[in-house]
Amino acid sequence: MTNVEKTENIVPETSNNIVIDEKFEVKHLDKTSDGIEVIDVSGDKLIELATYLKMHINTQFNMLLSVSGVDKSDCYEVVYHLFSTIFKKNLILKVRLNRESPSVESLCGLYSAANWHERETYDLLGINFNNHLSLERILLPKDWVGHPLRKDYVNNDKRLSWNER
Amino acid sequence: MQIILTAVDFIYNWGRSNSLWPLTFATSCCGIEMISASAATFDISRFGSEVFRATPRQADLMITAGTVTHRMAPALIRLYEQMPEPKYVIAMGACAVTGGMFENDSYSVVRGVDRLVPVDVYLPGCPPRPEALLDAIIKLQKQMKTETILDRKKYLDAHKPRVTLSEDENCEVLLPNEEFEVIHWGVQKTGYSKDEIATSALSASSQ
Amino acid sequence: MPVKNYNKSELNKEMIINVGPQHPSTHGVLRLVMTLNGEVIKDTKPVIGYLHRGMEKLAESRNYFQYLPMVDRVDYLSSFFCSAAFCYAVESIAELKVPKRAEYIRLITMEFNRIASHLMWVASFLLDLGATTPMFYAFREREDIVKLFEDLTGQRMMYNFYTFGGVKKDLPEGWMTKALDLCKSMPKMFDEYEAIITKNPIFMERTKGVGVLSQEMAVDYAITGANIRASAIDFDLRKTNPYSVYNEIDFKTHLAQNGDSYDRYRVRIAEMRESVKIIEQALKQIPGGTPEKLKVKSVNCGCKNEDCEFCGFDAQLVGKKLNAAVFKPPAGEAVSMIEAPRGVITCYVLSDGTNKPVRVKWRTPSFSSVQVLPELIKGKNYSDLMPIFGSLDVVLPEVDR
Repeated sequence: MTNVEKTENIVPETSNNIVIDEKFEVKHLDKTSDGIEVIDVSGDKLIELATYLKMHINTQFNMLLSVSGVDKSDCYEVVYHLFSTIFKKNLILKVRLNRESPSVESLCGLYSAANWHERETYDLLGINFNNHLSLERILLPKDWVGHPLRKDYVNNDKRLSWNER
Repeated sequence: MQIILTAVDFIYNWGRSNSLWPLTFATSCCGIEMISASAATFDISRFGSEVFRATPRQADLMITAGTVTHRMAPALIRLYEQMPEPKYVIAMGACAVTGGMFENDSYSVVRGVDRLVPVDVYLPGCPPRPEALLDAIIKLQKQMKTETILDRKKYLDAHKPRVTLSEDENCEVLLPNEEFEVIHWGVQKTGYSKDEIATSALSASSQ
Repeated sequence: MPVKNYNKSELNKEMIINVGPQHPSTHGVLRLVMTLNGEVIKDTKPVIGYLHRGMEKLAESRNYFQYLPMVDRVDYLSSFFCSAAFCYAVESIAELKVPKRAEYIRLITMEFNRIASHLMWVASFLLDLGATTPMFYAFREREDIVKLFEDLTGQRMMYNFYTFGGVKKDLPEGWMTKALDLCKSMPKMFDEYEAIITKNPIFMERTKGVGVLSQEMAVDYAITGANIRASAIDFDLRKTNPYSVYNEIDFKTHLAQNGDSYDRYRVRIAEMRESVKIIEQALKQIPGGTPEKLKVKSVNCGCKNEDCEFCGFDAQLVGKKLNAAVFKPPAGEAVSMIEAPRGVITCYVLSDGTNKPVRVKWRTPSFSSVQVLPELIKGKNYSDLMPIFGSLDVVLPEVDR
């Protein structure tokens, strides 16, 4: 299933290159400015790809450092930062979502660290994570309306009356 | 009447002002300077604050050191109401005085603690040095020494919280206190209607 | 009055108590809703967000330079590290080179900040356990370090000293001598309070075997820093992915075997001693030497050669002077990882060519530590809460941002 080749490499070290199979439907984007690989994957193949990257003997990305959401003008993007404590390498996965109803599968089953990071992304950006254990607001009060990190957020909470002069 | 009570006032105020016990209300960065003020280099127990009480029932000074957010505000009000009279508040740090560097466009910071509780001494700085905190305590002690027992009613009226906790336990919103008119510059007006909030210029521009 | 026959179900009633947002330990405003069965903790639900100031949203309406002072307040005890994380990310995007003298100054200030942060941790950890004396000892050292920072930057706590491409000012005259003297006297001070803590029977009984963090749980919950090094996983970013001039300094990583609270304490004390050695080496190796010598030699030399030790690129403080109003890095993104005292701080910056960032995301280590807390204290006594929570070194503004 996997070929160990030197041409298409995920982790740019000669000892641990793998090729991601066509069935994952990934797209390699430009590297970040400090040389970290970026992979764009579609939402329904995310869990398979993440499991593959975690379990494969040559990559072993066993630590999920953070999950962040980005509000670009035409879509939402969820960015996953993976790290391998064995090979000390970084990897970034990006998933694009549409603006009307952004939703993606949750990685809670793979990494326990994803639990609170996804709650925070839901809280601040409104991205739904399917099959999450308990998706509720974590940083803002429970009765807050709206998602502040969106670019079109207008702050009209009733607590604003305290800030009036 | 006041002439008879001057000696009593003097001893009463002297006893109270020289043993102010603060409540540990350290939210943020200014809390570290408050702890430095209580450590060995800048000793706060020289001024009477021998211990920092953890429970508001035994404290008579609340030093709000740090940023107060919308979520923390009901807890602050409840702590203030639990303190027994006579009680005083020092607003320490820029975030507690006016909202500090988050005053411009943060969506979840209360712009100054005096929207919630009445403040006696404002202490600016980001963070203020421990010596500045000691200066604030000295000023508060000087103010306490000018009080008199006969004005207790006026004092109690002026030291109520500016907002009240709502009856609904699940809702964390505070409501304006109807008994307050504008007392001094900085206290919110009472009774905002929803239309006023929606059409005010602030909500449209705070993006 | 005869004793009523209680059946077992009545005795095993659960109690929900609230360790409220304001509590005497100095971690900040965190609320724990705990379900207790007698003294045994059944479940904990941490409630955070009491200090959420919206740091990430504020970055989107400010310049890069205007956001620099706010970056220090993400974690006020290790503000040089947060500043470094943001600066390295933006320098990657804008392809700015940092001169070596600036890198050494950054390293020296970061290591001093690490010692100051660990001292604050020792003070608050032992204050939680009930011992008030180590707080005064630790704050005595912290005042010495903070005085050095005040000479250098003018501020005691949130320094605003790093800029894109270097640092803002050179070391003042006589600073390096004072720093070296402080480094010589610090190990003796560490010995003083280690003598009253490390072999203390009460301390050992309360923290040995308590809060064992297994290796699988640590990697699964993305715990980093001294917490994971106490569980025998060798993960120190200064060795594995070195960022500043750490690859020119010789130092060791300290590991411990068991992963309980006592080991986390031992690892942090050992890290403090190691930081002192790092600072001594860096002060000897800094290019250009003391600022007085640098000034004299660069005036006498005057060769304007790039490789010259005194007037070349490596002896400057800022790589390229930038105009703060029109600084526009090209479109791109970068992630910078820094080994802070509590763990790994990650700063993800996304820019689209304008002078304001599109997205700044902070991944802070205390967020993961609070997330793992309910797993660690399940089934333990209530009196084990503070040794476990205190040893994880949590600072709340990092959690809430």
